[in-house]
Amino acid sequence: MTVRAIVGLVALNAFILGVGASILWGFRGWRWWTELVRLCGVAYLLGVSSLYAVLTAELVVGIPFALSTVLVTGLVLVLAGLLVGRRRGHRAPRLRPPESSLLRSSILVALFVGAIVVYFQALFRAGRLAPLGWDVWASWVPKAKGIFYSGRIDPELFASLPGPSYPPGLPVLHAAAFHAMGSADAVTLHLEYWFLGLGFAAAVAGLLAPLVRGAILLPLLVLMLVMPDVRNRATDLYGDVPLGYFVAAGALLVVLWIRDSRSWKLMAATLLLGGAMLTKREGILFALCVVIAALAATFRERRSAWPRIAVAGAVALALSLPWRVWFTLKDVPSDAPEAGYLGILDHLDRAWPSFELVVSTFFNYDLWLIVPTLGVAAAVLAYLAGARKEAVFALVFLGTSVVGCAWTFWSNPSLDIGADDGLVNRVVGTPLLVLAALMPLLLELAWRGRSGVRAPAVAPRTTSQVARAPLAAAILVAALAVYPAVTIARGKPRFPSADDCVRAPVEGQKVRVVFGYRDTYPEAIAVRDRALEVGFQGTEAAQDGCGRVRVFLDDVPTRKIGEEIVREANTVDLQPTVEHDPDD
Amino acid sequence: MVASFGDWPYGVVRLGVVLCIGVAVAVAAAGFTDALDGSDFWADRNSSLDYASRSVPGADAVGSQKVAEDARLWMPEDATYRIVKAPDLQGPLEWAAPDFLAGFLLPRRQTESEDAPWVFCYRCDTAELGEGFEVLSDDGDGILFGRMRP
Repeated sequence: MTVRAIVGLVALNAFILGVGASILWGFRGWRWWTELVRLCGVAYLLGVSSLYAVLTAELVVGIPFALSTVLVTGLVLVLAGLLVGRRRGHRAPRLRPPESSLLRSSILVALFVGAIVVYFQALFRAGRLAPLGWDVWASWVPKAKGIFYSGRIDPELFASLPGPSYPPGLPVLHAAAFHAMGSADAVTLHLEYWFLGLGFAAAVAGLLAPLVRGAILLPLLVLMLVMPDVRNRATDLYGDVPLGYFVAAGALLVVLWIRDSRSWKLMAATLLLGGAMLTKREGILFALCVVIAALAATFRERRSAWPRIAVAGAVALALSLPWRVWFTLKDVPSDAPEAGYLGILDHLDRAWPSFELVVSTFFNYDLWLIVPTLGVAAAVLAYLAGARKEAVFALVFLGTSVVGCAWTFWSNPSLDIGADDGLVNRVVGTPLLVLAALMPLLLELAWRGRSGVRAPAVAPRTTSQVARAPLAAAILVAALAVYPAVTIARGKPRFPSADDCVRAPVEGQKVRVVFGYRDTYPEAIAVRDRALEVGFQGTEAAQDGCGRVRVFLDDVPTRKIGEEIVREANTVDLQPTVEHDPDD
Repeated sequence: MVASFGDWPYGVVRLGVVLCIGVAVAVAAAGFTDALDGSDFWADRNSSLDYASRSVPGADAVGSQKVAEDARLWMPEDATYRIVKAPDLQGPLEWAAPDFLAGFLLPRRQTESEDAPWVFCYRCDTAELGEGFEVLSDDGDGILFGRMRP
């Protein structure tokens, strides 16, 4: 909850971005540095996925987890990325191309980018001091703290918690964040999810920017971010939203690979889908939906495409294998459905209600606004306009993921088939994010029709665009400055600390004489006993309400009397202070 | 361009795209306002929380925040503790409290061993713990924390 913790998180995420950038360099390289800026969101997600995979494997083989482990692992990944890039002949990039689309500005772009900037500022503010949710207390934080404190995955601890065989990707990331923050500060940890959200939004924007005009891309990007259920859970420390980020970015890369067959996109998708499988067990289910959709979309090129898709799926699964082998060997309860994979036949009565629940939740306006309807419409329009592969991918993914979501309820008989506990929206959120990420591409392809004409992003700059640039820049600067200025004007940001419970005396009101604050009862009781020993009868030790133990003498009628006690105590080296006594 | 919107299929498809984007802009604008209002609400609410609301598991899960926090302040970081429950204990105190305490109290370790020097009593019969059980924190509703005197 301190500035130090936030700075630590910024450093960690910059490091993750650096790791991911080197992986991206190995996969594709870049001719211009502006290309890296465009793809920094993809790079960031690749950094998270690769660290997930390698750190999990290290924990499984017994390499102790510490900050140094994270740093060395990251540096090895950086080196590997650079070496692969060199082997693949990637040349040193130059600053930017002569007609840089990245620096192109328009009022429309500035308005929407400004809105996205304000959105993330508001999200940061809301998440910074958030309390922990139920499953976070019960499962995610204990696992992360377990790794942080012991430097290993303790089978006993994991087996005693809900979801014992859930993949450890997020707890590993949380533990790395604890190290970066300098303590197991689960409150500030919410901001790690802010970085994940920012990385995902940047990844979608960066991947689609060369293909989709701003007028289509940016409104849909804002719409994706403001979906109420995604926005409400964006920083809640559960695994569902990060899972959605990995699956959606992976699915988008697969579609883009289907369009142009550039191998780096399939490689990146493989790593991201592996990351999804290391985030939550549903990652396997949704990665399978992506693979089935890709197989369907490439049916005509199956001889060349299907083996690559199969290899990509197998490699993604292989990234989570060390974990699966580990929990099997350690007899940690499996993450298989309660009814077993075939036991669903014994619960046929749950099939239709499960399906109905998922479909009704999927089209719930209060959760996702108009995104599902627009997503289906976009796929149909793209299909009619001739973008068959992309449309088939979207529709098959949608169909399989709806069936998959229904299966999660059908195959776990202990789950209530209802929306009251919010579980169904957590499951359905991933396909919704995938649909939202694909929608700009589908609508762009629908707009283009068979002409295939596009490229406002690489067209020469017009005089009017140049003239509007300062106004666009001003809008962006205002977006960056106005929200913080308005919120700070309402009150300075709060950084809760133990000193919040130290209360200055109030004239005319009762005071207490405080002999000190200690971090534990045994330390505090030593101080209390010393005070009692020298005659300050009635001295107590009790929680101060801010995480420490206060040693104090209560109910002193006036400040003057309190100051007399202080003078007396100073003579025996106790050095207490006078504080307000609120009678709590 | 507008005249071409009636052409099948590309004109109609383009009209569909325009409609989709139009709806998206309108809904995104309303959603953006809601998002800012919602974020501001949660930011103000979260900022006003006290230490216990933010950093200690809720009483619905652990029975008493005071007792849980007292336990954290009493036990050294290498301590082990156990939870003794009444046989008829039900609800979250029965199935959730151990997980919540495990996460909150780490690196202190939860154990089932009767040799554990620190004990939570969830509406248990303290007589069963023996005379060596010293109560250090009591919420007054059957949730106790204490230590075993040698």
